[in-house]
Amino acid sequence: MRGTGIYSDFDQETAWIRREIIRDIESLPSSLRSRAKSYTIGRRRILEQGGVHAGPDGSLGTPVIYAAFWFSDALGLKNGRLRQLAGYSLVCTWVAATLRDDHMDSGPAKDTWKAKLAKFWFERYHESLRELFPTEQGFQHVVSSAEAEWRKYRKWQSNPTGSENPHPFSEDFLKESSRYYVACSLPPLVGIAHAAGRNRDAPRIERFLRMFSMGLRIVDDLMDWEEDLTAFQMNRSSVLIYVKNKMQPTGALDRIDVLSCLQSDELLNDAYGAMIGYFRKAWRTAEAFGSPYLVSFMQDVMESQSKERESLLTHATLALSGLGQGLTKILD
Amino acid sequence: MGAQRFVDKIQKDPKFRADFVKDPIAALASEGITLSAKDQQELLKVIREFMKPYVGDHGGEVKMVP
Repeated sequence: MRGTGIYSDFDQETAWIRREIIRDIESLPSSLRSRAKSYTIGRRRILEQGGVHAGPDGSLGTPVIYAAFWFSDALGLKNGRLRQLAGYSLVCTWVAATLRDDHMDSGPAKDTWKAKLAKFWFERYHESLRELFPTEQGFQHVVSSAEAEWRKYRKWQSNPTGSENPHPFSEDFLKESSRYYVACSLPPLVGIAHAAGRNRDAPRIERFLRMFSMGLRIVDDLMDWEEDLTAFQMNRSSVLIYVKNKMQPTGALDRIDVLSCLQSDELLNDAYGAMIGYFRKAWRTAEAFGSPYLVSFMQDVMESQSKERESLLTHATLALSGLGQGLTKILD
Repeated sequence: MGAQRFVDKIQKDPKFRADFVKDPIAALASEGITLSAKDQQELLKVIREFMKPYVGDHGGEVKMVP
């Protein structure tokens, strides 16, 4: 490692990305500028004061922009401009994908500005990504593979559980539900391998990303279950599928059903056990790269999620014990 | 079902716990337990306290004692 930390070592690079994003916004028609700002500051938190934000809680990132710098370091990419471009393309693809998804959610006829902005940032993404590849053939191959991932993800979204009753924390299910992250993040990371002349490492990068993404999918499903329940997206959420399988409700699941399950050791152990298991596999893959940044990041992630599990288990035990005491007083 | 067995079941079985939280009086009645009006109010307080960290002070969907 260069110096002080896995994030602060890259303050210069993130400052450059921030300047580029501001320049992008200023180049837009005035009618789109404030909306573009709201997406990069509010929705994706790219332009927060002080630089590029690492992610929702500072330890897990969507996007994990820093992955571009950590993989550049791991793969020995010395060219500073290409390192910055890799990070910038990662930002652009996440902003563009978010806009595109939000536009699809709001209906194609509404909020067409989202589609315009998505197109704008997809173009920036492709331009910056192209520079990472020494050959056009390599670039085209990676882009078409990512598009195939998107198509698979959209197909899965239309019928996530199919006729089967999937195990929600299985690799089979989570591989599908986390394909979104892979489609967004893999091309810039593979671009780094190409730029560094380390094409042979692309499969290992993909393995790291798939394992990390499956763990991250469970984290997101635990964070977003209320939103997913209201949005009727329960058949995409590993947590809600788990609760449904467990509770076998006669009607639709409600908040109390989910909360009751979230107080059980079984769900907490199954969800966090699977999640940490996927993160551990990602960590082992990261170790093989010999990157102190990636290893340190994965250790932080596993540690923070293990602490979260312990905290939730303790709270659930205390709450249930309090309930038991209260009921005993009334019923005895 | 004795009180302790009832409490154990609430602690161990999420489905039973959910049904109990949604309608405690009915859940108790189905087990042959009837409570006085005062105990019903007390029971509601206990459940509200239990759910507070999850649904806030308003009690969420916890059913009011009629």
